[in-house]
Amino acid sequence: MADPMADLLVRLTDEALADALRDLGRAIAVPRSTAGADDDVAARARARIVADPSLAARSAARSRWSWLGAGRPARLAVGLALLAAVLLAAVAAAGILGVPGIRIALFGAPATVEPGPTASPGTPDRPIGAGAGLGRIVALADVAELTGFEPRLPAGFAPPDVAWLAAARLTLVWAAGPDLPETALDGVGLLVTEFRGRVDAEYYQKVATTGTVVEPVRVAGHAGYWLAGRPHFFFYVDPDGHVVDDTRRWVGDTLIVEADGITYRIESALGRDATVALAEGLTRP
Amino acid sequence: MAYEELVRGHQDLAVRTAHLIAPDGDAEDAVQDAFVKAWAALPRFRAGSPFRPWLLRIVANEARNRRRSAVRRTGLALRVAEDRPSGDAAPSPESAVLATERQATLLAALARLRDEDREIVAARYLLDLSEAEAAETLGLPRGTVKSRLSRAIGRLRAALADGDGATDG
Repeated sequence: MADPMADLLVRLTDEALADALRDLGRAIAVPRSTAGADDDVAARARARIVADPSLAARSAARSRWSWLGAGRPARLAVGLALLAAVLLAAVAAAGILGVPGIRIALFGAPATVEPGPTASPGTPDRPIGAGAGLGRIVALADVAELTGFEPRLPAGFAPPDVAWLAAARLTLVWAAGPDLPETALDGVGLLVTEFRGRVDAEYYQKVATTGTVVEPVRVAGHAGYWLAGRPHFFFYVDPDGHVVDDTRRWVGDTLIVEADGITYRIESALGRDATVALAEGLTRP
Repeated sequence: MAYEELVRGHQDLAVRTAHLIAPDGDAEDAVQDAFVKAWAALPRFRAGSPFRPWLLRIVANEARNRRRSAVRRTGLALRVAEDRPSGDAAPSPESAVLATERQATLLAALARLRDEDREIVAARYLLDLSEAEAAETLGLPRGTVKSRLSRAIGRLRAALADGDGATDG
């Protein structure tokens, strides 16, 4: 026997040896930067992904789910009812949901995700929604020209406090108030995101924890989905096939619906029925 | 970036995994590459399955690719006492010395194991992964984990009993 300590270890039961190994696992030196530091491994990986569009493009091209969101335009002719049935079958098969232009993938095994510094209550220096990765502020009157579509606004609401534009993704933001409970974004009561749901290439992928409830809903005859519960991440693929990682960390309960080629994402703390009613009232001013 | 947050939640475990699989390599470098590859592979992730072992498998493969051929993995070392979490603090100097000695002896035996044996011991015990997670991380059929672990523990005992007993076979 090499030494008394080795002798002692050899004579441990399997269970005690396993415990000793678990103890060892905590004591082994691991060269590492601190998770959360500005230049930690995750941050460096992100920098490489962002700097190399081919990484994202390759990802999109290989998507085995791309038929859901990237079918030929003719697929639209299938009709929403049939599409919903197909998608529900896909849900049953693989846990995937979608509406035209949207892909939702549910990820299991929740990561420990804490809400990060996101939006802040609006101030003259810091308009509502600032810091949430929504893009740049635009005038509502300019949106149609910039995006190529007329935005819809919820009936019975004042005009949005701020309109943000990132690429062709429009996000209208309303401050929380007596009738609009605060969402996961500080000071924000309602977000309505509108973008052209190009059936060819653009779709959303939702990375969610298993605690997220996904429920098919009908919104004025259109297929939609209600996502509620745990925080989730968004990714989407742009018309060039690149995966775009939405810069927002996470949002609250979400209704996603597509109508006339435009996808609407409505986030609020109003609950399902009120959010569906709000979506049904979306009109072009 | 949402993906950054998603993987950051697994970062520490990923680096520990890479280090235990390839103790002489740059674990952080392997994990960084693995995170980039996982991003590219994201569309192939099976919806509804656990994300952590899927990610760890990519990390493990990346670490293996960086492994140099060596019989003894000299990169494995114990943390210096002051770097340990306070929860690990031993009640007395004597028992601290004993605990460190025990860990050092165990580590020396572990470092002499074949890579295959060290991987399974590391996954199940050092990293404390479940059987299913260990199987996916190491790319093994689930039914293989138990038998392989049992053989590896046998060789670990042999390595403890005899300083050179576990490097072959």
